[in-house]
Amino acid sequence: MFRQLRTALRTGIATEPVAAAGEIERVGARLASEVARLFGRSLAIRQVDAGSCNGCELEITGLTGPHYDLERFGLRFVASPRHADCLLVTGPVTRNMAEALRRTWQATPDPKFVVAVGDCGRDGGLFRGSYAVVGGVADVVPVDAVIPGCPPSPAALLAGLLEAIGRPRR
Amino acid sequence: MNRLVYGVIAAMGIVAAGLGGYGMAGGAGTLRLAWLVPLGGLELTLDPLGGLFLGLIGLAAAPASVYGMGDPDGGGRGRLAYAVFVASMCLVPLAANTMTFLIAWELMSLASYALVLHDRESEESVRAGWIYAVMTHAGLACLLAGMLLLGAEVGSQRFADWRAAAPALAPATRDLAFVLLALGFAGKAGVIPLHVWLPLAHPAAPSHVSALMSGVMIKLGIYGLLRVSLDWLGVGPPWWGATLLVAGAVSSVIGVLYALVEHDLKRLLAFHSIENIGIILLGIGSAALYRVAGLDALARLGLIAALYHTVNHAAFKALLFLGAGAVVHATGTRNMEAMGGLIKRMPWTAGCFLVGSAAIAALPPLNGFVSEWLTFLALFQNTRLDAVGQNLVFTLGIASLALTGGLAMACFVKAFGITFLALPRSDAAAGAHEASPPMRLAMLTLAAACVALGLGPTLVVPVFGSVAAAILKTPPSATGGDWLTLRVAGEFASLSTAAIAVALAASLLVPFAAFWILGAARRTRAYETWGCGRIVQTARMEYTATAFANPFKRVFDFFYRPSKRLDIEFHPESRFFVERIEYENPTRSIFDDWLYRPALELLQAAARAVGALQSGSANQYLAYILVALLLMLVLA
Amino acid sequence: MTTASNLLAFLGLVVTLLIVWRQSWPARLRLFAAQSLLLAALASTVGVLAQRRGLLLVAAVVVVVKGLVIPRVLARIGSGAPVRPITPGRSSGITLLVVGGLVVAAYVIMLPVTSSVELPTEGAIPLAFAMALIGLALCVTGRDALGHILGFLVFENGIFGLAILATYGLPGIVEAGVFLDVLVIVLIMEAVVVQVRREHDSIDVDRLRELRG
Repeated sequence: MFRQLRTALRTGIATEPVAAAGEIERVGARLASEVARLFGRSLAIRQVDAGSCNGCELEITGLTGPHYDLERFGLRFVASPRHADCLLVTGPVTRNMAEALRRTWQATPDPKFVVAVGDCGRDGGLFRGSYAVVGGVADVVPVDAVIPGCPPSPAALLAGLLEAIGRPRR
Repeated sequence: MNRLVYGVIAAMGIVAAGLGGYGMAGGAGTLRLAWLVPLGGLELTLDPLGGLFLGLIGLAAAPASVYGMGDPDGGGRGRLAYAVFVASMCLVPLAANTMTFLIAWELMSLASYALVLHDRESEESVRAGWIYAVMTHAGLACLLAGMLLLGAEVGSQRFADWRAAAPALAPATRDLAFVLLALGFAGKAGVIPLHVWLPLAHPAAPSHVSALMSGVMIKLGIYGLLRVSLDWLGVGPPWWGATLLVAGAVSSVIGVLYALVEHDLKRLLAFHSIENIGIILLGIGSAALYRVAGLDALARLGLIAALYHTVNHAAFKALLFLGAGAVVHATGTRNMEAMGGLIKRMPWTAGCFLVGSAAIAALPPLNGFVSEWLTFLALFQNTRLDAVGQNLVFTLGIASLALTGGLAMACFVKAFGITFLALPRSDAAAGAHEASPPMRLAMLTLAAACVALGLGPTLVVPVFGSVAAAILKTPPSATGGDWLTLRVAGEFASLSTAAIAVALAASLLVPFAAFWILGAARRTRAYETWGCGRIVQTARMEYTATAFANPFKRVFDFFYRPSKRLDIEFHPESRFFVERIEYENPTRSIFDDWLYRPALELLQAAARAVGALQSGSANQYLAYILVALLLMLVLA
Repeated sequence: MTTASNLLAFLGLVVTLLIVWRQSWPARLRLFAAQSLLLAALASTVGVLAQRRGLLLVAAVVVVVKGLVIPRVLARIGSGAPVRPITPGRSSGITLLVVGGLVVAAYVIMLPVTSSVELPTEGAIPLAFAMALIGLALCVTGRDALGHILGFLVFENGIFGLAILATYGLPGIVEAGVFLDVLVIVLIMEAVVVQVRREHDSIDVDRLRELRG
């Protein structure tokens, strides 16, 4: 225990300085008002990993951390598509996950929208054409919005979500 | 033939129930046949407490017998034993002297022993029968000693004379008699640590017999404890009540803990019987303590709670055992891990079992809730006692009852969920069929009884109140409340299960009404159950009973002392491919390890020492006789 | 009456001691018959002197059953047995000493009885009781089934004598029952002994040890 304390004291603060948060705050505020307008108070998101390298997941996880704190804008990750308004799909859709993704989409109650995350989600990205991959998310389920990037930053994710909410939903 | 025999027994049960009702209503009667048996003759007396238990036996025996008509296990030799079993149980609460009581008691034990052994091919049954015989006769020995002691001290074998002479007896005699009789009756009731026979014997018997053994026979142990602690021996010292309360607290918690990790459906129910006996004892113990302190109204409350729970437990436990019997018969196994999905195949059984589960888990507005609520109230009133030690005992009772309630709930979520929900876990479960009409009728009757006892406490409690007043010899007082609401201990608490039922039903309807009023879109889209997107969903992916119990096993590992054995066989080419995996996580009984095994070892050592006398020489045996004769003549 | 009963009971005791002493089976049987006849004489003496005519009938039955029938049956059982060689060095000395102790014990035990009753026959009561105890001792020391039967019969004779001396005989129905019992026991034992001998070629009770669980 003492060694840990000593290390902690000697090392000091190792994290990067906090970036100017202006952009996120601005996007977030608009997002919050859009969510409040369209979904009552909160938007429930189910994240689906359809075969990702987990780079996108790292960034998505960042959204839930104290710095970005997605929940203050009324967005929430949920544990089942049954509870979700939105599917956040990452990765190229592998052959093994195609049917599962289709079922997830079926299990999500209407109205709903799908956001494909990352270059892989857009069209298969680096893995396009692989025998193990069906293609982008759009090849399996209807996609409402795409957030490009490899991986997209949390700020980009928020902006993409904002754009997706703004579109007319099916 | 089957139908005739069971029909007659069912009719006998209804007659007994009528007679019991007459006794409860204050009708008394005595039947004396002095010539029939030696030592006082056969003597039967009907009084309110005996009437209550007689009625209970009758009302439980009727549906159990109806069930027996449809039960393929019910035929043959078992019929006679069953008839003797029911008849002797009816005699026990009526017996008015030692001889009559012991004859009825022993007949009951022997008949149930024969029923436990109904499957005498199975080694498990034989072992269960053996342990049952040993434990029940150890109890009988205690009873015999206690009754002979009392008979010798009082100078009469009639219970009525004991009642009259008890206050004048020496305290040491009364204490000794209490200990002996309470031990004997507690063994029959399955109070921990005398419970070992119960989880073995109940599952081994046919289900309609298990229902009676668990629903009624162990209640006769409670009957005896009531007589001993409140009636025959008069007002005892506080430690009698405190002992009963502590025994109740321990039995309730330990019973439910064992049930939680049990995956044999009938054994699970048997362990729950131990738990419920504990809850009944909490009521009796509190009644005894309040009575010593002179708080008659509270003593009556405790006793009402105990009697109510006795009747309730008979109703829902009989129901659950009958339901379990239907399930076991349909699937051919008692192992819950091989069941599942039965709600679609046997909806009647599942519905009745659900009612029983909710009742035993004390969910309002069913009957288990009312009696546990009354027990809680009786325990909470301990602040009116001015004795710190007793208050501590009461606190223990409250804590254990609360813990028991929660664990019982968890246990029946498991019992119902694993057995009836999800996909069938075996071919037998997939091919299960609904129970036969008589079996369904019996279960429906008992389920209706559970609901009625839950909704009608305002009608039932005054009846128990008059019985309790008769035992405690206090004037019966009007119970508080009106037709809708039950009021207990003045303004301390009130309950209306009928109102709760209406509120619950309304809360179910409210969302629909709200949607209708708000005009929400009610477009529905049918889609298969969400299974995490899996393409193939098999029973092997389901949650198991073992998995359900595992968190509890870990939390209470000081009690279960689980040992883990993991046996994995890898593929010869790579250890990343498993060919076979075996996992065992058995628990060990602390009572076997720390109480019974040492006691048995001691006994065996003693037997070996005495066994030296058995040399095999006839001359030596004759010499023993000669020496014994000479010694007796010289000493006399 | 006192003299007659004392004398007959004393002779009965002497015969009993002789049974203990002798080892040859026919001799012991003859002694048993003699003892039974002595008891019959005792019964008829008491019957005549105490005006109990029923005892005469009992005495007649004793003569027939114990004096004639039972010795015959026992002789038949014994005749099948291989002649047991009289083992040298195995004397009856210790047994006789123990039996002497039993006679003393009988006097000690019966002291309160004899001092409390006022009967002309009271002096003989300890003698009859000693006969019963010696009968039991014969059972204890018996080497084979025949010895046990004989011990039992002597024991029974002792009890019978005791009954005559202490109460001038038992009620007739009891007496009849006892005779029937004894007869039946002897007959059953005959069957058992014959069976055991066929199975084991011996009726030595030591071999019963093999049956121990």
